[in-house]
Amino acid sequence: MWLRFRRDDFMLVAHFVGLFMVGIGLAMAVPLLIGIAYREPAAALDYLLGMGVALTTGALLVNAETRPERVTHTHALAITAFGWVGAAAVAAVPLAASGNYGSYLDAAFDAISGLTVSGLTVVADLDHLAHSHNMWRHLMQFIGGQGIVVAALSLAVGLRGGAFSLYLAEGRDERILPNVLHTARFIWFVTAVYVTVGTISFFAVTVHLGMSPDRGLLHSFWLAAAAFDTGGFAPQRMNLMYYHSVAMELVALFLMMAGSLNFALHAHVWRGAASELRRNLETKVLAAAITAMSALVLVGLWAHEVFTEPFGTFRRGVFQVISGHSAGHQTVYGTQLLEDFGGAALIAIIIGMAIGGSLSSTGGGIKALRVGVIAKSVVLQVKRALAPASASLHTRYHHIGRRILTPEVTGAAATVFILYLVTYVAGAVIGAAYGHSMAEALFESVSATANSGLSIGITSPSMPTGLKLTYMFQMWAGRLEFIAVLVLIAQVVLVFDVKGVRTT
Amino acid sequence: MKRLMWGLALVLAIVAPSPATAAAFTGPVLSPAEVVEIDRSRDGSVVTVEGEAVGEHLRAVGGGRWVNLLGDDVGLGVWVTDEMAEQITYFGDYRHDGDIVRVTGPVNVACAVHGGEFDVHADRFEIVAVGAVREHEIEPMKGVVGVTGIVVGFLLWRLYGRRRDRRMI
Repeated sequence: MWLRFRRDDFMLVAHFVGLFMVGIGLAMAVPLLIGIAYREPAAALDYLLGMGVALTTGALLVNAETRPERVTHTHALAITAFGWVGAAAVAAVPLAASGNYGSYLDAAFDAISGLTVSGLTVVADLDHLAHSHNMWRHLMQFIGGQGIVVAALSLAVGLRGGAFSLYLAEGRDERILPNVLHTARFIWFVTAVYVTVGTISFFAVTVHLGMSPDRGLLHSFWLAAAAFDTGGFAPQRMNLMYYHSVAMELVALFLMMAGSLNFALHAHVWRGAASELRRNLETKVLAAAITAMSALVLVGLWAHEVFTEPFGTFRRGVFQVISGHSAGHQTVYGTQLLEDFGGAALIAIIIGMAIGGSLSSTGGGIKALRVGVIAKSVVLQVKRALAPASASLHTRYHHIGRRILTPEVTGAAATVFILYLVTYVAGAVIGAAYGHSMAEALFESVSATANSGLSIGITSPSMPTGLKLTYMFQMWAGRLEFIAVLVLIAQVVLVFDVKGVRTT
Repeated sequence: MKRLMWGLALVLAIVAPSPATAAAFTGPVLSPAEVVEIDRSRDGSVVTVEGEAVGEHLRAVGGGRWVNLLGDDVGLGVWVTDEMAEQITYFGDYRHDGDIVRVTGPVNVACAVHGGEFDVHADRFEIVAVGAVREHEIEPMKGVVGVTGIVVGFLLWRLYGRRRDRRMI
């Protein structure tokens, strides 16, 4: 039976979307204050404008429903899918007004990219961007990394009804603490600790490099937020290459790796159960994938003979693998990925991006646990084929405790796995249709869908509109792990096609 | 014998590479974007690149400074001496157009000295044009619309609170 949304269901969804918009509007107070503090009146006015649009639109939608307690699982999925679009729509307003984006669509591209912590960007003249605009770009990643639903939950803003459904709908699979509100607050607590440590570490390096303290502090916070939230934005066009510093890259590596770990794992380590780190299937798969892909990249680089010096080869190669799994910070140019890395290294980075990070982390992609579960299931099937017919074989895996691998778990993992693969390939075909080579098109498509953010050079302000829309959809669908988006599409289809449909 | 020695010295002076290589280079002036996409067979050869100095100059490991040049919206790291870096008056940022700098030196796709960086080591350095302070037009209408929107948004939020209290829907 299909549950078709009626008018009051859409009103309920609109109410929550409005709440997210109001939240985004209030968050714009931060770049507004930065604009005032750094005497950037023209840019500060962009945030006054953005706040006005976000608060008016948001509050108007909030009025659509005054009894928001009756949130079902289906509502939660639609709220989340629409909510991310609504949040990005108003988040783009100050960027569009900045003059650094060719159109509102370009600003919306960066807003989607920021909130979904992808890191692909079409901003023009980034090196002359105001501090307030850079603060907003990175703040979007700071909010989006944890999720806008988690942000609202942690502030307990009107989401108590159906809170857990909303939490799950945002692509999170685990309740870390018994209470979902406490879970949301714990996620923010972990993030705050890492971003603070990262900011202090980056700041020490920037001071050593000779940056002024105020500029160094801003860069440090932005980079720490982008790295831990696996975002990939940076305040300069050259991304991390701007700093020419191994120390900066090491701090970023630490934060990216921490950000790609499951928040439930962080909770266990926080409680003193550090052994979970080496027993967990997810971390084992992640470590194995990073090791294997790094080895493949290094072999590829040495075979290609552009990077000949061992330290430089290791520094450039391994960083891109870990960055591909997580944030998408770049220490090489897009053209280098194509010309100087060679086929083997390029494939390794694409696979790394496709796998991504952990469940319930800030990272994207298929996720290491799903890959591990599917691999274990394959091994189980082989064992069953070899065993006597009377044998009953089961397999277990360790993920926050011992678990039996059930057909339901395998099926759910395989479903998401297939959806990611289909989207990776579909995006690549569209990219190829726009005239890019299949390797380039696949790289950019995987990067967008897995919310990685590495770019081989396709993503730019001059990119065709169709390709911008494709990548925006991929970033959005990938961040929500497809189900919420598919539910939204199904509901829209059901509105126009009522044949054989039973209504609620 | 003496004549032979002079002859050898003359031949060596003509054919041997010398520190004057960069000074004598008269190739085309490239943008940072062109340098990044340079044919890889020219790795290690001398190029002249011109772009806007952005951000600030940064300490380089082993001495010298890094200056990042921007051109065609692509940045390129150039290793320069402390004295060269000090010649720059403005670095590009929100408030400034940076000095336009022209640098001649070898380009390295994966620099062996600097941990695999894609860089140019400046042998010759000149300021082509001094930067300037950037002006940003203030549009008061944005503020008017924004403040109006904030007030309307606040009133709508209050309206929601009152409707919710009264369960009007």
